[in-house]
Amino acid sequence: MRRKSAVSMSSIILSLSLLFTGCSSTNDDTAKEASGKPKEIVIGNIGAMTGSSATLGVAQSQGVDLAVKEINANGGILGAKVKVVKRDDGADPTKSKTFVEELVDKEKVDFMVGPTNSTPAAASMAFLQQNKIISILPIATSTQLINPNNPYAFRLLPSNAIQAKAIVKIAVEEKAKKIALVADTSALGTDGMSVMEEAMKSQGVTPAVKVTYKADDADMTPVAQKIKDAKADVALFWTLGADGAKIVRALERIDYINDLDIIGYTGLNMPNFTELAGPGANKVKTVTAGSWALDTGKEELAPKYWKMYQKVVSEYGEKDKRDTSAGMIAQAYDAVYLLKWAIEKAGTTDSDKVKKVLETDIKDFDSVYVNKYAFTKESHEGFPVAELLKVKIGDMAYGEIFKKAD
Amino acid sequence: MQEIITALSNGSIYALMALAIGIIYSTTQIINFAHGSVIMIGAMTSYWLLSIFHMNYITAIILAVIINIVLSIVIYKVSVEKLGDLTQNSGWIVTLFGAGIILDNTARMLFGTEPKAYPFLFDGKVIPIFGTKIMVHEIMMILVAVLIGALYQIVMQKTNFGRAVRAVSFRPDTARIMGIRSNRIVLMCFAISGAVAAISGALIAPITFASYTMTYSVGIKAFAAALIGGLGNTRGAFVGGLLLGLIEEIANMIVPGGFVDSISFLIMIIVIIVLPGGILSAKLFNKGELNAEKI
Amino acid sequence: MLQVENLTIGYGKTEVVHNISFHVKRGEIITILGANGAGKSTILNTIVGLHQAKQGSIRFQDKEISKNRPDQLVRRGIRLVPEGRQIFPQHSVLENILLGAYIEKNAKKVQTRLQSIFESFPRLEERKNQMGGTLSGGEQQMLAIARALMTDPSLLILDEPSLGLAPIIVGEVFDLLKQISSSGVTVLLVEQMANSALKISDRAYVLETGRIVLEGRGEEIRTNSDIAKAYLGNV
Repeated sequence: MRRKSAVSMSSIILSLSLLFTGCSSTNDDTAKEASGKPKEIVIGNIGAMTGSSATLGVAQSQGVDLAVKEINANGGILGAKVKVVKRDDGADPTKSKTFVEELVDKEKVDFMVGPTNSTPAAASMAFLQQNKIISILPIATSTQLINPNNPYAFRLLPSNAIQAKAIVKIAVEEKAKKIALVADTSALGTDGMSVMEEAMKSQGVTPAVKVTYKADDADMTPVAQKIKDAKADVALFWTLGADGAKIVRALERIDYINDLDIIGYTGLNMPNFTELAGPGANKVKTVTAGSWALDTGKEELAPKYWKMYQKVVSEYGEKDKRDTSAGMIAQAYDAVYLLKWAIEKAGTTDSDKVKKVLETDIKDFDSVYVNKYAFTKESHEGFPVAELLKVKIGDMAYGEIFKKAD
Repeated sequence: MQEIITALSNGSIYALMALAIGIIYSTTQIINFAHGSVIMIGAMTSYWLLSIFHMNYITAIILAVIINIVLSIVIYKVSVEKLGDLTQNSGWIVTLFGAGIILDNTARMLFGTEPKAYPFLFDGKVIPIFGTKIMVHEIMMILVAVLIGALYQIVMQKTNFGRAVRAVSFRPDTARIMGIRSNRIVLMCFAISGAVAAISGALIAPITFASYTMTYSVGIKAFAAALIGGLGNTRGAFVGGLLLGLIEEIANMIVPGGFVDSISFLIMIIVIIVLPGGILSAKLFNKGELNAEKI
Repeated sequence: MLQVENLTIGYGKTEVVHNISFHVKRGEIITILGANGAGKSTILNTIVGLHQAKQGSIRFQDKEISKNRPDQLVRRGIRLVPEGRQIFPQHSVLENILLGAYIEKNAKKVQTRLQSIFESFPRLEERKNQMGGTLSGGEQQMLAIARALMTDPSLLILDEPSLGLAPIIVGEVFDLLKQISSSGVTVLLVEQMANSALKISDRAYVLETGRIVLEGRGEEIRTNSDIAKAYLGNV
């Protein structure tokens, strides 16, 4: 806390000196020197690195570590070395909140990457806002995390709401006549159903049927039957992979799979989806970051993304050895570079100044994950809806890179 | 028609699970809360043998049965036998839950979190009947369940071992003065329920997919089926299982998905309140006999 | 045949039977008398291995048996007819009898034994397919004894065989015990109903709150009215 006030004090001095000296870049540098250039920038990295969500936290750490290693080898940020303090919250919100407090109070972190999971992120949000710590969320998807009450939180990946907008948009653009919405009754499914309905509303269409079921149910025939009874031609699946696969099998069983196109949110994807869902899987699409999907017939991504992918592979190995998602690593890598860029552009680590840069100048940032992030003063959702493209499910190159669907 | 077949095949899953729960309950008056996990281990081991070692189906199932028998014996030795008189303490609730959690976590570490596609019997062949498609696998599920249930009934009613099991389930100490080693019988019951679990696992896994959480949802329903039919009553297990399958199919037509389980469990609670011994304890089925016949 | 020495038995920390000694000779009928709660059943359950003694020794045919399991003792020829008879109510009469021969794996022997049991208990043969629970109290007692005789025991122990039976039936049961005894089976019984039991007993012990307070010939104890008043209440 004390450090925080020191920072804001220095930023007051900085602004005063700026007032007096004007804005030329040379003066700017002198001003910073005068105000005490940061000796070290501390970034907190928090997420589930053990337990059932371990791959998320590990991926985030891999991306953060890779970026920090590069940055420090190239002179740091504003000449200051970057230090990462890592904590494993095991996806437990209570633990996560305690660690966040520790990172802020004791470790004096300036910025935060994570937490990886939505509930832990929600638990720590208030504390991060009070302390004006900018946190970049590369992985958590819960819609509510990004809202005006959390002015210092920025999200890189497509939130549930953005995914819903994208899949509804795709369905409408493909001239679907009757759209079925499918989601389970868990917190995740309920959130999914409501964002899909909202997206439908804003597109001016009404769903032909809304089907819910209990996650993990063995028998999905009733779900399939309700889709068939509604004579839907497109079904939007807010379901996890295994459940989605069971529904696809059930649809095939009742002879309806050929009359239907299925578009699922990103959670539907899993490596062996085709195996689980059987032949009906070829009717299932999902969405992903367009820059990280291969064009038909191509074997490489566009150069800058491909370069990033190669970097991940050479650092952490092929997919089967690494177990973490290269896309997720790239997002976490982006998170650190995004901070670097914004700090350098602001010329300070002051949260409000960095925040302002993120909100106004984001088009200048060169991402390795998307074409352009979409932050504005009004919305801290970085992922642009238009960049979520339809891809074939379960059909991936190198075990992890989607192929675009026609 | 489709609905009836689904009800029957789901019902036979519940029946098989309820049977295995009942086998243990009848001799010990304890509910094996680790049973779902034992089924899962049965399915995961046979999956491994099938997909990694490319064994033929029958060999893989037999090996999984053997592994499950050993596992069930270990569970009994470690988390039940040491507790002493089970009527005097309820430690088994915790130890068996604990055993289940250990098995689940071990499976997660050994087999990973990703669900696996487990092969259907007869390659998932479907035969068209009455305008719908029925999987041979579903018919086999019903047949195997009926076969195991019938076999168990014969063993219970016609053999020395069966008489001893029923004697132990009535009163272990009285059985002991007949020269029956009651804890040996209980151990055998654990072994049998482990074997049944391995077979149930192989039948359920193609439908739920093989994963360490595969029995989370069906497992709890099997307890409901066991209670509806009457705990420890194997005929009741079948009645309860099939009834639950039917209730679910009917509920599915009336209420939105996700509420179906509430209906099932509501009916379970009503049955327990009205007929504490389960459906088969109703007068209708007992023609003036003492009370619901155990086993 | 059976020597019990300095036997102390308890449940948890409470002692129920304190340092008792008694013996049973081959061919005798011995009665242990005592009021409710005197520790009679505890002694019998300990002899047959259902319960472990705290201290003391139990010797049967000159071998220490206090650490043996019930099934081992059944094999050695000790059978208990438990208090309340404990017929398996959901097993048929035949099944109840067959359970008595559980340790006998030789089917032929079981059949021969079953035949001779049915000869001695024709009523049981008539009802062999009836459920155990549907028998009358006297029939159940017969069944319990028949069940115990299936392994041809050398020592038959009975825990209050007269409990809950009509006086006429009690007479029948004790006649039967005398008959069994004359066929060469040693009999140890515990009773509250002293009169009938003492009539057929060679010797008797009187147990009071876990201690043996008196020993004597059956007839002697029965006819001594002082003893009866002091220890047995209304005999």
